[in-house]
Amino acid sequence: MNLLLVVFDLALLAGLIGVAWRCLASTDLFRAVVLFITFGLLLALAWVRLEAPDIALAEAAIGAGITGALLLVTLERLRVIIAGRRSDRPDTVPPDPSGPGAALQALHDPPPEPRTRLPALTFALVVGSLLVTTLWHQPDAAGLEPVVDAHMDASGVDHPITAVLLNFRAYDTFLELAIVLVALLGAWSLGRHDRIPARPAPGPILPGTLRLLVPVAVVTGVYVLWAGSHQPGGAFQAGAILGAAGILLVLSRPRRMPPPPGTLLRLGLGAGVGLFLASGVYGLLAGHGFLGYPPGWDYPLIILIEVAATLSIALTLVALFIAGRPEGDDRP
Amino acid sequence: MSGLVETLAPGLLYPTGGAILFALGLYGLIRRHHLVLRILALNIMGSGVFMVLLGIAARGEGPPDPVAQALTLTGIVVAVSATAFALALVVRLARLTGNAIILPGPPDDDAPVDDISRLEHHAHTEAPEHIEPTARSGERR
Amino acid sequence: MTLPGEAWLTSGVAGLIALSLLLAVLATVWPRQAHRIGIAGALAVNAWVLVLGAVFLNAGPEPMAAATRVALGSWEAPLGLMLHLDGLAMTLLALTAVVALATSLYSLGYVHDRIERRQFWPLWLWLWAGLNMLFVSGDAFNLYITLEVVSLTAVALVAFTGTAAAVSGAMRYLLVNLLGSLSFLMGVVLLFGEHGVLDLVLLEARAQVGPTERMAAVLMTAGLMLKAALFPVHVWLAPAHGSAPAPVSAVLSGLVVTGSFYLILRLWMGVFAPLATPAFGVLIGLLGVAALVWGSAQALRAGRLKSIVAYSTVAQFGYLLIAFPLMLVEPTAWRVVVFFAVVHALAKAAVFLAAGTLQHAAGHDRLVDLGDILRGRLRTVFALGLAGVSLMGLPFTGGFVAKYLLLEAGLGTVLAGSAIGVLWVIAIAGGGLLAAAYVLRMVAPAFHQGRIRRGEAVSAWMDWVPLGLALVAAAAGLSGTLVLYTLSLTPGAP
Repeated sequence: MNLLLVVFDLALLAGLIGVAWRCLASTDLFRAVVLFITFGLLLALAWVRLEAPDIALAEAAIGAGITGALLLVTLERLRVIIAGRRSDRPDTVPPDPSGPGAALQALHDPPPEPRTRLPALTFALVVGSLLVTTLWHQPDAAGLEPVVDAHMDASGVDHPITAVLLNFRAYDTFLELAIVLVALLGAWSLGRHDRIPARPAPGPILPGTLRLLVPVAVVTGVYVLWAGSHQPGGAFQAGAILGAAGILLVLSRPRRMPPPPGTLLRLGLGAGVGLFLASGVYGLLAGHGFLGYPPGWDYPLIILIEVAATLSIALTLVALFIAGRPEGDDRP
Repeated sequence: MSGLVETLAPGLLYPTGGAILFALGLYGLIRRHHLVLRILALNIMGSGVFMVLLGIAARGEGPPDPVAQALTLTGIVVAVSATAFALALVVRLARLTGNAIILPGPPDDDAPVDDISRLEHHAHTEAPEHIEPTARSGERR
Repeated sequence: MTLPGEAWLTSGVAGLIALSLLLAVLATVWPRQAHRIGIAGALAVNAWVLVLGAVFLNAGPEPMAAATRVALGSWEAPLGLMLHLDGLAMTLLALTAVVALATSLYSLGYVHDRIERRQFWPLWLWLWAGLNMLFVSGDAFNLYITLEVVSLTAVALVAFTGTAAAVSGAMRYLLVNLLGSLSFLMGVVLLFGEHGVLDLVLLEARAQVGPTERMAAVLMTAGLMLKAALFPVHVWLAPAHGSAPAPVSAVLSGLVVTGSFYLILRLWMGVFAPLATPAFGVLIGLLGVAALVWGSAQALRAGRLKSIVAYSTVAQFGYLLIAFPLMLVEPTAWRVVVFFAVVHALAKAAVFLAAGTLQHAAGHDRLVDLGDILRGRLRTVFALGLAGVSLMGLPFTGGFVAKYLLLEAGLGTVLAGSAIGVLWVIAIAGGGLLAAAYVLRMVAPAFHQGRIRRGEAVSAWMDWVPLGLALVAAAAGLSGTLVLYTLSLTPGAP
C-alpha cells in the first residue's frame, strides 16, 4: 500500500517536472500555455496528496483556471497586435527572423542560443542541489500545528486554515486582498481597456451552456464560501469560481457588456479591503488590537469580511481579465 | 523495502520536487526571451516554493501544518495578481514597441526622451483600431 | 500594567499602519478626491510620525531592553503577527514621512491631469503604506507580502508615463522584483522548515550556524540585493529610475531601494548575525568598491540628467556595501551607515525632483541642450547643487557628516590592523571626488555664457519643493546626533 503511494508520488513528481520542462522548452507559446495549465492541474493533484484540499481547490480555480484564462487572452491580444502591425505596414521590411523582433512573428520564441546553456545550466544545478541538500538536512519540526490547534476555540471558526487566514494572521490576508487590488490599479494605470479579442462564437451552444453554467458557478461559489468556516473552502476559492463565471460572461458577449458605473465599480472592488480595514480599525479603537475582533463578534465579522472579500476578488479578477480601465472610470 | 518506503515519505519527496521545479524555473527564466515564457518560468519557480512549503508541512506524524497551508494560499493569490499585472504590462509593451521581449541594452542614454515619445505616438496612429487612445501622452505639460 | 509610554507606542505603531492603509483604501474607492486625500493624509501621517517619534524618544531607556512589539489582533507570536518598532525602524519611518511629504506636494504640481491624478495617487499611497509596513514588520512571511505591495506599486508607477522606455524599464524592473521576491520567499520557507516559526525575534533566538541558515542567507540576501540594485545585480536600476516620472524616481531612489537595504541590514544584524565572517565582509566590501567605480563612471558619461542621477544611486549604494566590512571590525559602524542612507535618501530625492522640474521646463533632459534652461532656472539649479553637494560630502552638509563618520570608521579598521581597510578609506574618499565630478557636470552649464530661457511654466510646487527638500538634506548634518541616538535605541544591535 505504502509502496504504491511512493510510486504514485514519484510518477506525479516526474510528470510535473516533465510538463514544466516541456512548457519552458517549447518554442510555440500557445503550446507552452496549454502545458502550463496542465501543470497547474497536476499541481492540484499534488496538493491533494499532501492533504491540502484547500490549496488544491485554490490551485485548480486560481492557479490553473484564472491564470490560464489570463495567459490565453494575452496571447490573443498579442496576436491581434502583430496582425494589426503587419496589415498596417505592408511596405515595411519584415523584421529579421533571427533578430529580436522575430519574437513577435507568430507568438513564437526562437530556441535560446546555445552559448547561454552551460552557464545557465550550471547555475540552476548549483541552486537546485544546494536547496535539496539543505532540505534533506532539516528535522521533522512540528511547525505551528499544535499552537493553532490550542487556539482554535478562540478563533470563532472551525476550520484551522480559515482561522489562520482570517484571525491569527489576518494582517497577511488583508495585504493579500490589497495586492489583488493593487495589481488591478497597476493594470488600469497602463491605459483604458480595449475590446476583448474574442472570436465570434456563432450558434446557440455557447449562450445555452452559459445559461446553465453561470448559475451553477454562482451556487458553487456561494457554497464554497459558506463551507470555508468549517471545511475546505473560503473567500479566495469562492471568489475565483465567481470570477471565472464572470470571465465566461464577458467572453460570451464582449460587445454587449454595458460599461459599469465608475463609482459603484470602485466600491465593489474596494469592499473587501474596506470592510476588513474598518473592522480592524474598530478592533484597534476598542482595545482588541489592530485587526482584532471583539469577543463573540469574531464569527459574524469573519463571515461578513469573507462575503465582501469574495465579491471584491471576483470583480477584480474579471477586471484583470479585461485589463484596461473602463470608460466609466474616467468620467468627470 | 519498508526502510526505502519510509525514507521516501512525502515530507522528503515533495520538498525535493519543489527544489527541482525552482531550479527549472530559474533555468527557463535565464534562457528564454519571450516575456510570456519568462512569466511562466517565474510561476513555475513560485510553484516550486509552494511545493517545498507544503511538503515541509506534511513532514512527520500528525495532521499537516495549517499555517503553512494558509501561507501557500496567500502565495498563490499573490502570484496570480503579479502575473495578471505582468501580462498587462507585456501587452502594453507590445503595443508600444511591437515586441514581447525586452530588447538588450539600456534604452535610456542613446535614445533621448522625445524620440521615444515620438515613437509611441507613431504606434498610436498606426494601429488605431486596436488601441484606445490613452488618457496620457508621452510628454507632460 | 504596562507603562503608559509603552501603551502609547504600541497603539501609535498600529495606528500609523492603520492610517496609511486607510488613506490608500480611501483613495482607491474615491479616486476623484485622491489627491486631496493624499495631501491631507501626508500631513496627518507626518504629524503622527512626529508624535510617535517624540513618544519613542521619551520612553527613554525602556525600549533599550526590548523593541516595542505590537501583537496584531492580540495574537502573540508564534501564532500571530507582530509589528516591531526600534530605533532603526523609527528612523526610517521618519525619513519616509519627510520624503513622502515632499514628493506628495511636488506631485500636486507634476501630476496635474484630472485622469492621470486618479491613477497616480492611489498607487502612490499604496506604495507609501507598503513602505511603512515594511519598516515595522516583524514577521518573515509578512515581509514577503509587504515587499510585494511595494514592488507592484513601484513598477506600476515606473510605467506611469507610458513611453516605450518607461514601460520596458518597468517590465525589466518587474521581472527582477518577482525573481527577488521568490528568492526571498524560498529563504523564508527554509527557515520555517528548520525552526517552525516565522517571527523574526523567535527566529533569531533559534538560529545557529547550519546549512539552512547559510542557504536562507544566500537566497534572501540575493533576492534583496536584486531589489536594492546592489552591485553586481544593478543593471535594471538606471532604465527604471531614469524613465519614471520625477516624483516616482525620487521615491524609488530615495526610499524603495533603501527599504531593501534596510531589510538586508536587519537580517544580518539578527537572524544571520552568526554567519558574518571577515572574508564575507571583504567580499561584500569589494562589490561596494566596484559599484562605486562603475556607477560613477556611468554617471560621468551618461547623456541625460536623470540617467546621471540614477547611476549615482548605484554608486552611492556602493558605500552601503563598503560598510559591511567596517561593521565587522567596528560593530557600531552600522549606525553611521544608516545615517548615510538617510542623508543619501533626502539628497537623492531632492536631486531627482529638481531634475524633474528642469526636464519639465525644457521638455527633455539631454544635458547638452539643457544649458539655457539651467541658466534660466537658478532656483532649481541651486536646489540641485545643494543636494548634490550633500551627496559629494562637502563640509556643513548632512553628506559631510555621514562621510566623515564613515571615514572615521574606515580609519578605525586600518588602526585595528586590517590592511584592506586602506582600500575602504581610499574608496570612501575617492567616491566623494567622483561624486563631485558628476554633480559638477549637472550644474556647470548654468555658469557658462549663453542664452537664458525659462522654458515651459512650472507650478509653484515644482519650483519650491526641490529647494525645500535640498535644504532639509543639507541641514540633516545638524540632526546627526539625534539620528545616531535614535539608532542606538535598537535592542539586540551593537
